[in-house]
Amino acid sequence: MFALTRPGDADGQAFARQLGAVWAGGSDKTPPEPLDAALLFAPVGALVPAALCAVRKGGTVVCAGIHMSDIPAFPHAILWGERTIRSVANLTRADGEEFLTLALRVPVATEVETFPLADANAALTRLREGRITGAAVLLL
Amino acid sequence: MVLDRAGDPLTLRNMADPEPGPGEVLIRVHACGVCRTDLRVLDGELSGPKLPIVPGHEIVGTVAATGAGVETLRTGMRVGVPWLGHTCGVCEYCRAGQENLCDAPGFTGYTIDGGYAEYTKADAHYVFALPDAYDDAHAAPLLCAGLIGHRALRMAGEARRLGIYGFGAAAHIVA
Repeated sequence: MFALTRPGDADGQAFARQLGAVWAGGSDKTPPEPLDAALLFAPVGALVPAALCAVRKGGTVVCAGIHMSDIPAFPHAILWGERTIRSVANLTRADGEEFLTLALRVPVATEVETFPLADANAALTRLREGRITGAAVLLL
Repeated sequence: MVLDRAGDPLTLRNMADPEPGPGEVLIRVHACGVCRTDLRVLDGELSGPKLPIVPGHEIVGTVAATGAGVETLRTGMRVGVPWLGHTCGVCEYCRAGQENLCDAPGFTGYTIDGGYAEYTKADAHYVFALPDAYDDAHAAPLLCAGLIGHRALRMAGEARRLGIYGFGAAAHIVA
């Protein structure tokens, strides 16, 4: 797994390596090997052409967020070779049941930073600024 | 915590406990994940939110009461509520098993009050029993970041060399 973070986000890259990334770098870099697939969780449309350049022929670029900034125009040549771009919308109940079963078997681990409910605005600000490691959770 | 208008901070407010209607459950919230989609709701980047709205769609809690007709859940069960909170069940997508693309969906914390609150109510069809292996805080991110990461990973097919752009909540679970 190759992790691409905001350029200069050394903490994010270190976190990715800690979780098993064989390479971590800024999203302005190209991973050291052609990718079979790219998952885009960052809501940045400009990453779509960047990811298309990084995937091999027949590769897939998955836009996983509900919202993304505009995708800039790009040359057909980087899509050619039966590369695919697709989005992810919501979930099904079957996804939920399948994933929760799978999570136990893998097992899937989560890292969280917790906040009291009344500090929701602070948690949101930290998330917006990219200062959450893992996931932010409000506790009641 | 309530959002009254896009762009405003959330405000802490005392509200009446929600009453579960037929097919719904009342949930005492223990934890709720904070997701990047919440920022999109707060910033007004998603069209047609319910306002005012209680955000939050990675809800972990226990069933406090059940509405009429709820048979699969009972008081005291530990449950989770995800982003997709309701579907129509009759559109072509629902009938084809693609309820995630429903033409008339309800979304928790966006068009349905969510989990930044002591109590919330939910459509019992969109409430999952949660594994005991996860405590409340660690279970919460599974309900959106984990689920979306799982669905995204499945769409990547049999990728051996996988690139992940943006290493936040979903990515760290995929990893």
